[in-house]
Amino acid sequence: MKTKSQDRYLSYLEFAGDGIIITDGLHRIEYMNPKAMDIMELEETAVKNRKLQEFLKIHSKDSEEIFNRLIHQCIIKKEPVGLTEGTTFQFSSGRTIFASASISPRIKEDQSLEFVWVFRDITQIVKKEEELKEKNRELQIYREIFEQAQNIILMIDMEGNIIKANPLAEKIYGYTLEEFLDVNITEIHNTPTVLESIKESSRVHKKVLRCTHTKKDGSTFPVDINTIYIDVDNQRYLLGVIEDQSLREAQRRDIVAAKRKAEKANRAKNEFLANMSHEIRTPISGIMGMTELLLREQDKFDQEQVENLRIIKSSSENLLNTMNDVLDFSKIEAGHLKLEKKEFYLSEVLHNLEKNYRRLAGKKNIGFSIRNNTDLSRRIYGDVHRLYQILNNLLTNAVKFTEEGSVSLLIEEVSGNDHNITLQFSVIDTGRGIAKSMVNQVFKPFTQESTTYNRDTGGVGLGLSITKKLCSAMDGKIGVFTEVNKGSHFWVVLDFETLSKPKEEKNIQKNYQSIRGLEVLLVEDFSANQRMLRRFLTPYDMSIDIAENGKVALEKYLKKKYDIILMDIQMPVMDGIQATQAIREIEKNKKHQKTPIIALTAHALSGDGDHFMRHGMDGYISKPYRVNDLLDTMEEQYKISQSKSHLMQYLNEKEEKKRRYQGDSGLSEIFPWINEKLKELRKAFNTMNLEKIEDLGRALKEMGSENNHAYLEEEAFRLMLCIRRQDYHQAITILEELEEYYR
Amino acid sequence: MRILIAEDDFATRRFLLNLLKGYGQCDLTVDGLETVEAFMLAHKENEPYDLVCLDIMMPKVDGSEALRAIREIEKDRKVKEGVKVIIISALDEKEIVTDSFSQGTVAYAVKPLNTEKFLSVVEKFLY
Repeated sequence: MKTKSQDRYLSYLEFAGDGIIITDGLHRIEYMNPKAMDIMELEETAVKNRKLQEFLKIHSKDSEEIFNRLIHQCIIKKEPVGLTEGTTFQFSSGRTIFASASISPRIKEDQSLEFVWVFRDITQIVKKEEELKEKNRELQIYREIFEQAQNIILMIDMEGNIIKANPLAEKIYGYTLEEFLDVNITEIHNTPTVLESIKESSRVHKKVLRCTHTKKDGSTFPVDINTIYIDVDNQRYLLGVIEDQSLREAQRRDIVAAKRKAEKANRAKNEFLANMSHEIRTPISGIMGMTELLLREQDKFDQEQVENLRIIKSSSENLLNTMNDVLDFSKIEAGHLKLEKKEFYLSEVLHNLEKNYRRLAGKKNIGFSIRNNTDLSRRIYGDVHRLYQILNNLLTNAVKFTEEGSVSLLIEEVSGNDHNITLQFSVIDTGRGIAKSMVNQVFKPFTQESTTYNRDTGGVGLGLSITKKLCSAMDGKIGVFTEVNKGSHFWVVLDFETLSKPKEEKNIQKNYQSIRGLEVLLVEDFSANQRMLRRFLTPYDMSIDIAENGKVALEKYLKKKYDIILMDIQMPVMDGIQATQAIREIEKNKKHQKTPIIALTAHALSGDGDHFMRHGMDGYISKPYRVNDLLDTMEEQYKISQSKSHLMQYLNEKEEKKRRYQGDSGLSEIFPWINEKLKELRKAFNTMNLEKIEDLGRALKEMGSENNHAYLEEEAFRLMLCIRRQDYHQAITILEELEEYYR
Repeated sequence: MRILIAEDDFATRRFLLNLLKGYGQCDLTVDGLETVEAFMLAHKENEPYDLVCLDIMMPKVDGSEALRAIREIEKDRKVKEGVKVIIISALDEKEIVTDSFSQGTVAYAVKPLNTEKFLSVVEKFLY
């Protein structure tokens, strides 16, 4: 039963923009406005008196069904209930929307309960919000990228005004963001035409350049710039991503410093190894040498003593071999193994091995043979020293572990062409073989099959492991077939280069660093030759003065000090030999250092060299010559002239002083001291205290040297030499002479 | 025959002296400087050495430096055929001495000496 006012309200509801549903207390649908039906895609007839739950499910954000919970809240609170954000309505049609809604409980006049649902489809709004959120998130990312970038980012307009700068830009250039907005690119970019080039190249999309930039404080720094043109709102901008190269350079410096440090450490290690080698070899060689001397006089000893000496000798030999292995091994381990390739013939290698192992095998009464199936005339290019080392290790082992039967070396060609050859070397013995369980171990360091020490097979067990490492350093392979008590077959496969014609020294362009920038005097009468030599030498920054004959050369020589003189032999006015002799004469008189003179000669007879050397020249080179020969000779002679060693300079100066001080009366001051020492010396002679004699002799010699007293220095030295060679008679004669002289 | 033995290690020096004294008069020096001085002295006396056995690692002046000086002296004195030299090194590394100064008749021996080989070179040099 509807009242008029009810009708009126109903008609409002009919036109309302929100969906409106009225249900009774049991949720039976009493009324549903057209908008509601529209949203829920329902017909009026279909819903009347049906329960709302049949058409509507409500899900919270976490997709829980909350219809009943909402109603419950409604009843308890007795007031309208709204939906939380993200709540969805799922309709019987299958459609789901984001909804905003209120559910209001109402007590009707008859005291019965009814609910009024007012709802709205906010799907569009929610979606837009989400899009916006997503966009904000993206913007946030871009901002972070911009702000956290480890490169400077500047955005400028086509007038060069800075529009944007990232925090790193602020930090490095020293401008704040506000200040940046008043800065023009011309103030930081030190190329006067920067604006023009920005405008001009605006068609080019991307560009990289290297230049310097100026900071706010006026200091400059090197940068690499990547530029990209971008369009925002039809406005063109230039985006510059700028890398501060001073940081890079600092890093580079750090790396270089670290590298240097590592190299230094490496060198130290190398030196340590070399020193170790020296320090150990020297005393071992002392032991071995002395033992050998004793063994040479075997008849003075009884049999047991001789046997003992032999043991000393073989023990020291073993010690030496062990030490060599250890040094080799540590060198290889440290990566110091350098291959030194050179040309060789396999025939030489086999010849040497045969000679050596035939002898060693003969000592043990076992056979030794070499079978070769390859072309021995082939010239091979490779590290022959390492090849020897590998084969020696294998052969020594084979002989060591073979008690009867034989050892053989077999060489086969695996493959080969004009430039390469692959060879297999097999060392086959009839020795004790290796147990299966040990086969995998033999190439490992510090292992030997038998762990019980045995004098015959001593050693630290590095041989095979070194051999394997050498093989891999040469890109080769190694392996073994073996059977206990039958023998072993070690094989090695190695690749070598082969040479068809004599190998020219690899024409590596030497840079002749040591003779760059020399002052050269070229003495040559032919202008064509002058030009040619000039062309040869100018690439090495040498400054070249030209003299067209010996006389001019001499004049030039007197005016200027040259590092090296290139002297033609046959010239008009004064020839090369005369000029050289004249120069040497001047040097001698003025005590000048010798200038190296290299003869350029067309005389190509052997023996000519001696002739030139006799006439004061240091080197010669015969025409026609290759430029490298010339440079090599120049380098060699220049080095020699430079190294007129400190030693020689020192000795020459000393000689000079001695000459000058000859007969100096000031010497008488040291006579008492000398006499004192001579007395002591006489005493030492009487007791044959050799150590004392040596010390006194040295003291006298040094006194003579300090006072430029040649006689004393030389006689004392002579005396020392006599004592050392046990020529006491002569020593006493010298002592008597000295006593006489200083009396 | 005059032989100069330059070696700083006492045992090796004695060994070389004993080994070589049958071949001629052996002088002994203990460092590079003495070696060159002895060499000069011998020239001064007009009795130059016929053979020099030169250790490489020696105090004051090392063997290669001494050899360089010896060759320079010979050049200054216009000696036609330089003295024969056996370089004795504890290092198995020839390159340390193989430079342009070690010209002339030079042999290398590595410590510990293989006596037979060493003496065969000595004999070849002396006779």
